[in-house]
Amino acid sequence: MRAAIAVAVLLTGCLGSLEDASVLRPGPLEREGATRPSVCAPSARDVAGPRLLRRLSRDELEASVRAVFDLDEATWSGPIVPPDPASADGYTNHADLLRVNEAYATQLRDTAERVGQLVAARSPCADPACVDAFLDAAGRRAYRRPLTEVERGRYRDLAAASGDDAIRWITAALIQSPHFLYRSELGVEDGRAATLDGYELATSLAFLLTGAPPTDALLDRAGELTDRDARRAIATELAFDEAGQPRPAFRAQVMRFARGWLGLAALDNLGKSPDRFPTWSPEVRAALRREVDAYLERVLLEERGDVRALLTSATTELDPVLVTYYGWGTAGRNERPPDWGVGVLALGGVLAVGATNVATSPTQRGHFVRTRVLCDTIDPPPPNIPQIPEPTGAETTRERYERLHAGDPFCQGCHRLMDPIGFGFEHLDAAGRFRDLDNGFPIDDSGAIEELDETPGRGFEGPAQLADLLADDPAAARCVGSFGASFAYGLSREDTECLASSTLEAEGPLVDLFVELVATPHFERRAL
Amino acid sequence: MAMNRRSFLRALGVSALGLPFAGLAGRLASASPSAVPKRLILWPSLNGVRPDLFWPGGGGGSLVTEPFADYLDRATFVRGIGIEGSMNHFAVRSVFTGAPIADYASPDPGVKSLDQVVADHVAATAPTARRSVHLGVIPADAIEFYQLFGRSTFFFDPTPVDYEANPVSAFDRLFGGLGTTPTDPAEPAAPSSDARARAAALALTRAELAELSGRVAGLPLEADKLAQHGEALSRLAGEPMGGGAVMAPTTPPAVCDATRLDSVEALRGELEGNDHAAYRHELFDGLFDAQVDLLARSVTCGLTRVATLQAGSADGNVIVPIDGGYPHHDTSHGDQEVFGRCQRWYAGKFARLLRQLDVPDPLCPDGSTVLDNSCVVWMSECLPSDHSSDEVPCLYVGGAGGSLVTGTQITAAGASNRTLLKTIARAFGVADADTAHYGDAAIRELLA
Repeated sequence: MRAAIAVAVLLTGCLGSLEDASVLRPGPLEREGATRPSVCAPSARDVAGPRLLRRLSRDELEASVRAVFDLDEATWSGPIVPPDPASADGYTNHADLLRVNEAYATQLRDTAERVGQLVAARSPCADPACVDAFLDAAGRRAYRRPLTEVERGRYRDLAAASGDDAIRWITAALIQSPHFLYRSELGVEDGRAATLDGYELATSLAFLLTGAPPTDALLDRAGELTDRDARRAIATELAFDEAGQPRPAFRAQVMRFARGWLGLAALDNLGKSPDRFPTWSPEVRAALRREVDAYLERVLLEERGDVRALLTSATTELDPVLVTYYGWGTAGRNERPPDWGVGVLALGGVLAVGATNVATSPTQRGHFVRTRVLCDTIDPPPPNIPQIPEPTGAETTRERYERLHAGDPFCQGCHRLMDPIGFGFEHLDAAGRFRDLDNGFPIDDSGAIEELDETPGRGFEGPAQLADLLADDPAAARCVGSFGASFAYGLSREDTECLASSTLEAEGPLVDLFVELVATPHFERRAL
Repeated sequence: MAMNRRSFLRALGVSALGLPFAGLAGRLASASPSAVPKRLILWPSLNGVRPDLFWPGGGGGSLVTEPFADYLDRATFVRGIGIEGSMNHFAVRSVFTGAPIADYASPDPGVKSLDQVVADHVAATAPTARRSVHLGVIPADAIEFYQLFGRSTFFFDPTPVDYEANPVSAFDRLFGGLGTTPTDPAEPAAPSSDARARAAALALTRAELAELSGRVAGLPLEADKLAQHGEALSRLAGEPMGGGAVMAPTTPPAVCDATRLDSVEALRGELEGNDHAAYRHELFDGLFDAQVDLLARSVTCGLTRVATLQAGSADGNVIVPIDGGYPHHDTSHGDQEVFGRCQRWYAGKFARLLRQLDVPDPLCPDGSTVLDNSCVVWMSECLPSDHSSDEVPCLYVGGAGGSLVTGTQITAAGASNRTLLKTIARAFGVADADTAHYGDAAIRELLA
């Protein structure tokens, strides 16, 4: 229903934004002639998705090299390869975007050869027995399965051509091998579908829950993984320790998911006008980042909260920098003052990103809620946005937006869906702090989540009521979960909704989603 | 029917304005253009600048171009260029590819940008150690936004070309393995044992890739991934290895200075092994200098003949360090005088590049400079404020070894970026058949 209505909305036109159009971008760009058709047919549920080769992300590459060759940070500083392109969903592990071009191949070769030197220096040998033993251990870990005889033969030939440097060049070749570099989700065809084998499942399981390749122990259990219940049980072991606490590697994965969903990378460089926000500083910026991370860790991992908790927790963690900056609380855990809103959307770092360097942006804030909390489709703005008059300071931000957007039917076609949500945050300024007045005028922070079909929307007063409304909306839990599925499956969010339909509708802690995703049909079977 | 110069100008809507720059005849290199080791450098200038602050006035310069006033006698301003079939930020993918990009959601161009077209030509006729070099200076607001939505992707091969944003790792990659002894290409050294082993390892990878490709028949996207991977390995297999930067037989041997660059070393402590740090706005100035120096050295010694340098991203808010700092993109929508001064700051970096190129060309013994033998293109994807892509700022410096007219200004009314791309490609000797995606028309008045 939402999608159908969105089309109607788009037809009404959308001709401008008080900020730049680019922040409201759709995504992702796809290579002409190499575009993946939509995975989800209308009303499809719990389907098996496409067979894939997923190039390792940079993080996965580093984790793999460290695990396969037992290299710590003191020994090896990490790969030097081009960054991973970002997807529209905020993740850098999209299966269709991670490619090997000339630059990548060149830098991977350089990285592989450096690692080869390190490994060879540690375990120099060249005789056939030594080479075989090396392949037994490192080869199996690198390929995440035993090597075939043909493959072993190739490495033996390489060893023979490399003389005393056999280990060095075998290592370099292992890292450049497509069987190392791509995670295979091709499966074995049975005429109707393809079923991932135990090693492929072990690989998917390990990278999803630990961000690293399968351990020897997990590879030893590959045969068990074709059983769904066993797979779920092993997934739980990988994610949580005996006390039920998230393991460090799983914590890191959950944080990657959550940071990608929030899209806060810009915070690290964010600047604010010194005239408007004189107390903003790099130290404050860094502290805001820490606050967001601490919030996510506590709500998602320590308290194992659901999406409702993510949106409505009234507690936050401050350090001394933020105690001074905000002007309330003590270092440590604090209840937020009533006027400062609740939940992740009211955190200072999130608010500061949803703003320009001089003013709040009800559009950006509303757009985030629409696209990242409710997963509604907002059409991109047109390219020829006319020059928007500079703020005069003689009105509130809300009044300005209402004058320029709500006063123009073309703008209003889309902005009616975003601005009234963003107005709810107007007591929270562009630098993430409470304000009584805007340009010296009283603030109206009433707002509404307008319906896509122009039936009456849901009104609210301020950010706390907005958070409650969103928490009550089943679309929010499903939407945030679908970002998790996108991160897990390496596909666009829209394409994952039908791959994990039942899982996304289940209630419970958000982190449990990742364990449950291993039990979906898509996790083990693929369409031909 | 033959068309004389004046009637051609009328036909194309081109007019030469005759600026008080030095006479172009004096700037035509003495060597035969086809024998000159030409270099192409593309310099996107993001978000443009208000026209009156860019185009030369009666005095010969402008606020923005004043920092490189010393080189205006070797510059040509090309007025009237519109980005065909595109506009606004998404025009970044059009500027140098000539491909129409209708909106933000349009697919990537699927054709080669000018740098890659020329790099192909160089590789086929006078290969260099590095086919092309692509450097960025905070080319996205964060490394996590790398190539996000194509907002910072100018160059295609025909998939997006990666840029290097960390000058320390780029220096180490480009110059770390170089010796300083000239290599006589007529007598190539026997491959070392390392080279043989490297080739054997590469052969192993290619064999596995071919085998894996057989498993993805019927899966077009996966097959495409592996095909692209295979193409990359093919290029890798043809790359000279070891020793100095070996020039092809058609060019004189050259030596690349592998000593460390001060501007790069100033950043080494922060950036070595830390690509994230290369996106810190506080380092913008130093990063810019380092990348300019790196680029200048790479093209001067002939390590490559094709290079690009992109500073910032189309909608990025890298802080331009003047007057306490202005966020680039936000300022493009604000006070245009201030934004003009921001672009003038970029022009200072452009001048830094030109100065380093204005040295005797080590590849060309006729006394010409590297700048004479280069074409350094400054072009914007759009204008500030409304981000229209009509009549964008555009100039080039250097005549590509006498192949292009310099020291003037023309108005090519109705011309487009495609027309200019065609013109430059021809100046580099690229066959028209290889630039069909730029259309048929060139600005002949620019061809010497």
